[in-house]
Amino acid sequence: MSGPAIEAVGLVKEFEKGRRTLLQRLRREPDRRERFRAVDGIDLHVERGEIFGVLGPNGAGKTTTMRMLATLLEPTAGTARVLGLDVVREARDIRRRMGAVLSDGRSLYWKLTARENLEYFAALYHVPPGETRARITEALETVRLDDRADDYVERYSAGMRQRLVLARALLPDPELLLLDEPTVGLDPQSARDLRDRVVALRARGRTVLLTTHYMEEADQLCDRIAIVDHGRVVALDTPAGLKRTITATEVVRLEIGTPQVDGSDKALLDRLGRRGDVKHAARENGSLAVTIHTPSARDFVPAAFDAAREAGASINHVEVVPVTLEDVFLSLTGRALRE
Amino acid sequence: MTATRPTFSADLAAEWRAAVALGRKELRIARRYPMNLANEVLQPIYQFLLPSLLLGATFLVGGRAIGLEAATGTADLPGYLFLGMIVGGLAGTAFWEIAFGFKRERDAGTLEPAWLTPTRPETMVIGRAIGGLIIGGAASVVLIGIGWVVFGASFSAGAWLALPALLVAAMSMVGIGYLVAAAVLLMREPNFFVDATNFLFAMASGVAFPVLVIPGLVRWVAYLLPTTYALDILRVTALGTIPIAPVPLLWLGLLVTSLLSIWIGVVAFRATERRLRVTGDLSQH
Repeated sequence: MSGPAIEAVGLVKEFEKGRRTLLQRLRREPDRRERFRAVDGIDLHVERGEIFGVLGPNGAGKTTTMRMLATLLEPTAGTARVLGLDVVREARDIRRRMGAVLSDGRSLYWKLTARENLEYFAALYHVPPGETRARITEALETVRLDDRADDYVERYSAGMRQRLVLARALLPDPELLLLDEPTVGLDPQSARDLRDRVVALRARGRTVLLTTHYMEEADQLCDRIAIVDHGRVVALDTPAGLKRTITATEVVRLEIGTPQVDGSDKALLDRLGRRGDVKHAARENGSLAVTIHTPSARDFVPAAFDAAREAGASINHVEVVPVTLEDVFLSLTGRALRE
Repeated sequence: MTATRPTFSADLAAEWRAAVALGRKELRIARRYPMNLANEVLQPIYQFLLPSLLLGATFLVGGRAIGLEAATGTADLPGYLFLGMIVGGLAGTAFWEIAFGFKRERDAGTLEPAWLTPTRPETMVIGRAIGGLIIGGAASVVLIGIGWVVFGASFSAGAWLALPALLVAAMSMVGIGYLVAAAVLLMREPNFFVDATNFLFAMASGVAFPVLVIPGLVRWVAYLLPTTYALDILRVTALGTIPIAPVPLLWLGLLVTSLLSIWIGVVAFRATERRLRVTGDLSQH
């Protein structure tokens, strides 16, 4: 097999807001519903064997993109080829060779055991009967659920259910795995465990495309990352490459107690801006939270204290951290990932 | 890792295995809710049969259902109603087990992962039908036994000759299942729709009274339903009732309406599936 695992060009998905009533349809009234673009021209090129991350805040278009690549949604415009196959015309052929985790542990049958769940989905994935038992055993071992295979899913923890969802996606022995926010809602141990499974899958030659809004997850797991915002790719590179786009070497986060007088925040931010590059400022719990990029925190921090004092404010907390993907996102979009 | 497309016969066999697996999954889950399973048998008795029987009993003359005999050719009210219940149960399978099952799966979040597999959504309707018809068939056998032993219904020894008609009707229910499932998948809250249409469908099929008493144009709706013909064949064979048309015509009507229901159902279901892939409403209601 050659060629990229995923090749998307100018992918667009528009949705209509609201519904047309039956009466409107019968009267043949013009469709006046507002349309909005969830995905606005995304280009992606994912090589085989890599873990490729799509990073962005909620509502950025990550899930819609995944659903189009998973053949659940037809694009409004643009083209996408998955494993060399067209997502609209050759959807079934793609589904034979792809596993996807687009939902959480609720998407299992809780009144069936893990093994019974997998038996059912193995048949839906057209796993040959002679191979079913071995595939199920292998999938359960991969996610370390083999010792609980015959328990009802209702007795599983959230983390175990999520691992079982991953096992289900492995049943077709897929060349490509799509994982949409696979660790959302998991405790840290379960999330780490799942990430370990994903890394192990890459070691076995699988291609993984995952979406996340956890920057640490993207940083640790991904060979390359596309940062998306408002339905568009705003940057695409390796994690290290993305971080190099930030000219600053250090990031200073300040929590400033200020009297909330009209214009006082602006005056203070202007003062700080003369000493560093103010990337983000927002009021949180009565304090002003400010993120500043600077070549030297050692020089900046005393100057920031002076600036605060001059503005009648006090700095309650200072944090100096290395550049992260969060800062890259902030720098590119002017917004924090979790906003 | 497999990259080749399977042959037509291999694909067909895989789809059949998927349908059987879906049916088996439904049966497994049903077995784990024994009270619900028992209700499959009991509900038609207390909701439909008992009120109808008691009402009918008030009109008995000298212990005989003379009016029913004049209209249908049999005075065996329990037998008449029990056979109606069997066909009503078939219709219930199409509406609730096949069609409404999609709503339950969508709410549970299990529909989307199934649609991510290579199994065709049309096959999932067949799988649901396998599970539903096995449960419905078993419930019917129990109902017949209850009707015979408890209510004194008397069926002729040749009643089994109507089995092919029931089998054709069962297949036509797959068509009705496709059609209703298409509507269910387009609705946010289809409970009322399924409840109302299932009731009207069963009534129009003549489960509780002869279709000949249905007034005017509405009776023509009854003639469009495969269950009307299947039930009439069943009653003619088991109870010796007067058929609504010559028996060969009943068979023709059954076959034509069954084929039509499957064709229309599949077309509607495919159109809905395509629409859902455009609107993205598969899991977002």
